[in-house]
Amino acid sequence: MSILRMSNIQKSFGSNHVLKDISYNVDKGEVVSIIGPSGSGKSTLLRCSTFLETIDSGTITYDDKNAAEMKNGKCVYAKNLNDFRHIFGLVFQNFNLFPHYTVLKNMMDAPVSVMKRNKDEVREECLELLRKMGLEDKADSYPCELSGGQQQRVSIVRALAMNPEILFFDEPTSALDPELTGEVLKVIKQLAEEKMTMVIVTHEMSFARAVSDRVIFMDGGVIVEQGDPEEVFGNTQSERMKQFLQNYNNV
Amino acid sequence: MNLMTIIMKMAEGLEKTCAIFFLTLLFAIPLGMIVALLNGSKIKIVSWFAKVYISVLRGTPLMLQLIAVTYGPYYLFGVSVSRNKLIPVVIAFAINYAAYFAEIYRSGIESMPVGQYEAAQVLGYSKAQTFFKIILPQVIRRILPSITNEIVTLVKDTSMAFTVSYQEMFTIGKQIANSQTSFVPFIVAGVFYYVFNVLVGFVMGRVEKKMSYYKL
Repeated sequence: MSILRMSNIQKSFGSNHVLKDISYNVDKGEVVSIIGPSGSGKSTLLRCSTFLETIDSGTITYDDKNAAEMKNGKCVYAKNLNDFRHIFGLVFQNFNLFPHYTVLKNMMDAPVSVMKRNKDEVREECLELLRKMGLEDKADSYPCELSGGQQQRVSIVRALAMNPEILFFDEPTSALDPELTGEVLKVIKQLAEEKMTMVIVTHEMSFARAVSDRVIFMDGGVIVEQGDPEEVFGNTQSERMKQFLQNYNNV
Repeated sequence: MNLMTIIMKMAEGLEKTCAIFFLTLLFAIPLGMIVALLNGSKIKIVSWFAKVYISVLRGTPLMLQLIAVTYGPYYLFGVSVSRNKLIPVVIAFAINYAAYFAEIYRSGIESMPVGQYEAAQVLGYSKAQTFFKIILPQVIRRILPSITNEIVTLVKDTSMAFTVSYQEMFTIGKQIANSQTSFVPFIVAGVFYYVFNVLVGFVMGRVEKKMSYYKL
């Protein structure tokens, strides 16, 4: 079953046509990596999937319910978009933790004040998540007291605290130095093993190859190639993809 | 008149000076926020109204505004000038300071990284929740030094109430200076204001320290 289905997505910023008729699905339990050069539209695609950008045309479907659809040639978003937001979580490149809240409050506040869940119950769940991530001693720390890797792990658990069905990652390790990248990738790998549905925009090629069920290669606002990671990385048919991967092999 | 009598007489006006000071803050701080939010409104006419408000109140002298609010009703509608001048004085101060506060709030709100809004949006916070829980606390932290500046200025500006003969500390001092042909009341006034502002600086320093438990 597809959790997310996006069809014929068009998105322009002024005269800059960023997404050109993109369609993609994500099935339950699937890990999809989106790779491609800068400016290829992969981050925009993720931002459209999470409603941070509005699409110009196309349909977005979560759990077979339309979040955005075409009506009389115009793209119309559903009135209850916040109900859809509970389906997914998003991990940002720059973490975007709330600096004035402790780690625990960062995690607990949305479930309690947005989803109106029981505070003690949420606290227990959040502490359990922190234990799982080896961050239990950081519950009362403020984000500024943590390393970049720890901050990103906290932002992952903050997203998980909402019990999302699907988790998006927008270049989760791009703001981290290589030493800290590993601890974040380990967490994502662990989630993949637990069959968390995830879409990951990344520049970490070997990671994408190892962790994903499917790889999407984007360039110039279109999906150039997608499929099994071994196929895409090992035996690509596309010249553009070969050229792109060359840059990684050369270093 | 010896120094002690001068000080005692002027101290009697301190109560009124403090009344202007605290009441102005009480009204100008929230009013400034309302003006700042109107200024940021997407409805053109609303933001235009806020911009004109700020422009006029920052662009004309506070002294003129004090006179206009106190005596304007008499000249315009023949309403007699109220006995208790505290009301028009506080109104004039509050609407004037609200304009400055509004601009400080705007600078604070605009300095917030867009990522904070996006994180809140993805987590499902409503617009009001985002503003009050996520944005405002960080904005206050950012603008506190500018707010302190305004508060220090306000302490000194209360002396402007002498233009409408409101019997606050400086007005009394000026009357003594005139009747006694003495410069001493001005020195006393200077010391009063300075001590007041040292206190303001101390309190605001404490508040800033209290709020800096996290880094932005």
